[in-house]
Amino acid sequence: MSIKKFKLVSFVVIFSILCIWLLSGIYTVKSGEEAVILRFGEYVRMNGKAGLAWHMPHPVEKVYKVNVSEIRRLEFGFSTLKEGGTTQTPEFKENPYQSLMLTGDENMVNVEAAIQYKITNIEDYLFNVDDQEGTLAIAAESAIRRVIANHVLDEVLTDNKFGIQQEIMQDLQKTCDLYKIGIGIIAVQLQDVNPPKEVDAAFKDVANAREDKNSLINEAESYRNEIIPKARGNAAEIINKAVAYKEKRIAEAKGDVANFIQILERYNMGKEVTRKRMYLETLEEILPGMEKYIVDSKGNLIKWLPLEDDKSNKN
Amino acid sequence: MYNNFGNFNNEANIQPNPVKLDFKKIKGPIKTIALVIGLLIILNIIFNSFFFVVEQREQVIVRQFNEVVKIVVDEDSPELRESLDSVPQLRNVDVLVGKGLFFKIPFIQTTESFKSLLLTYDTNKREVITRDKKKLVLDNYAQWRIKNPALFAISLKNERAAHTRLDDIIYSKLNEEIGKVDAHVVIADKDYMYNMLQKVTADINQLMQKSGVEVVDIRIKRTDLPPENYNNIYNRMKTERERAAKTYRSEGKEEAQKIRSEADREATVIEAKAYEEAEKIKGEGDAEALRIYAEAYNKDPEFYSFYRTLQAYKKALKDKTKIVIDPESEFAKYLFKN
Repeated sequence: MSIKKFKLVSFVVIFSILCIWLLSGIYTVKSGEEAVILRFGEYVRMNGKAGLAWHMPHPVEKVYKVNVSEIRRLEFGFSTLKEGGTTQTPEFKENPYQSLMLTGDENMVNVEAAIQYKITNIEDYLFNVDDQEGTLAIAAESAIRRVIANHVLDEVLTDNKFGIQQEIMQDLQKTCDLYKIGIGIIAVQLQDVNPPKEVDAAFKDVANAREDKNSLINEAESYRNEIIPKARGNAAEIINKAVAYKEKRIAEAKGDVANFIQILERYNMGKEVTRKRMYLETLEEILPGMEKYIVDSKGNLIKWLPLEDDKSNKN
Repeated sequence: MYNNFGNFNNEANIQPNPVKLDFKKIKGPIKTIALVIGLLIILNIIFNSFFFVVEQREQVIVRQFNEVVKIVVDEDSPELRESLDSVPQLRNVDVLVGKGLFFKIPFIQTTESFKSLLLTYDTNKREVITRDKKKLVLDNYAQWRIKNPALFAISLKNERAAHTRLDDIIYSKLNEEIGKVDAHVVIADKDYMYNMLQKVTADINQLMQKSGVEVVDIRIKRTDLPPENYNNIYNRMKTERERAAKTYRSEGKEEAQKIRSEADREATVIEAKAYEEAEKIKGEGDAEALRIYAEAYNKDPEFYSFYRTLQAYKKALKDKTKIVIDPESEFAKYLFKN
């Protein structure tokens, strides 16, 4: 009876060990994760369904889980020491050895970039490349430097940042495809792109010079805006004066003529009389104020009548 | 623990001859467990002796008395066979393809595994000299894999040795190729360098074939000028920028001067045109006035000249004008006749 009991106990013990062993094959897949199951080291299946699942326990099967929906980030030329939050600003550390590079026109430039990527093929990612992150980093460095060296400094600094980002992204994706690393590049973003500190002042002065140019032009334009209206004003004044002169001349002429015509009418009534009267009237009007000398036309002898000489001298 | 447990029960029990029973009672399950564990260990030993596992990231060579007899690789190819045949001692190697569980002869055959992954070989930076005798600092890397583990095992043995070998031949090959072109091509000509590196990769694969290594890609990570050139570069950049700044400023002056002179010109033209217009208007006024005068005076020209003479007298002969009168003159006639 007791021997039967021992057998039962043994059975229970073995059975529970077996159960525990079998249960050890339960694993969870979180949402966003994919799991790969290897049987004796050989890839047998992939499980992309989130939740509980079971694989044959160790040592038969093994499971590798990778988050495939997470957008990962690779920093080039700098590193984030502390991420920013609502109450704190992020902290960065620059890495000039990495970021300082040559451009196509043999100038130096500091380029900092962030690369966003995702694992697109978990099998390739896990089983094709020895050091995935390291390989990506080295390929990225090569791609960034190669593309920057393919462009001149001005393009890198300002004119063609977008094009350069696209080119880096395409080149890096091509490299990833060649290595079958299972990574998809989502974006390459150039962060700070600056000339080296040693020449920074000269670069800033160019910006100042550009401003100077604009302000010189603005000054000249304001001069123009001042002088042209003034000229137009002068022109209007000249023309108005001319018009006034014209009107005046015409009006005066009309007045003179009206006067003459009236006199002419009277003259026509009695020509000799009027003529004499007019002459005398004129003399009357002008002679009093004049000094008069009368000369005999036959000789040079001059008889002069100092009619009002004394008076005028005394006065 | 086992003994203590037994002793404890021994003392606690008052029954005669209890030791045997109790001993059996406790020994039963433990014995079973021990049996199971022992069985598992034996199974494991047998398993490990007869089978070996090729992990997904691995490839394996099987040796029999230190001689390679079998390889397990990712894929079989004529080139692989050819490269095995080229070495007398590997002519009879079996090629198996795949991962997972494989059989071997226990105790006689041993296995060694190698990575079947793409491996990175990152060199140190070093100076090279271009055709135009400029020094450049290059830093390159290579991606390679063990293509034929059997060849690899007998020629290089491990990754470190492979890296040394790669370093030697990549360095000399790159030096050779870079010596053929000018520095600016190495720095800035992306397409040329891409093709050059492809060629270098092909050449190096030729050389590494006997070592069982395949180079997938060689790339230049960094192309720099030597640090002692930096000051010159910075100076050049500075002067270039200064030139640009000067250009901007003189362009500004030029533009300003243009605008000012244009404005001056415009103003002058506006005023001159106004003068022209004004003179025209004045002329019109004069002409109109003359026309009016002429129209009126033509009615009696003789009288007009008389009338006009009188008016002229009034204007001209005023205030102390000295007048000399000819007694024969019309004036004298009027003066003295009456």
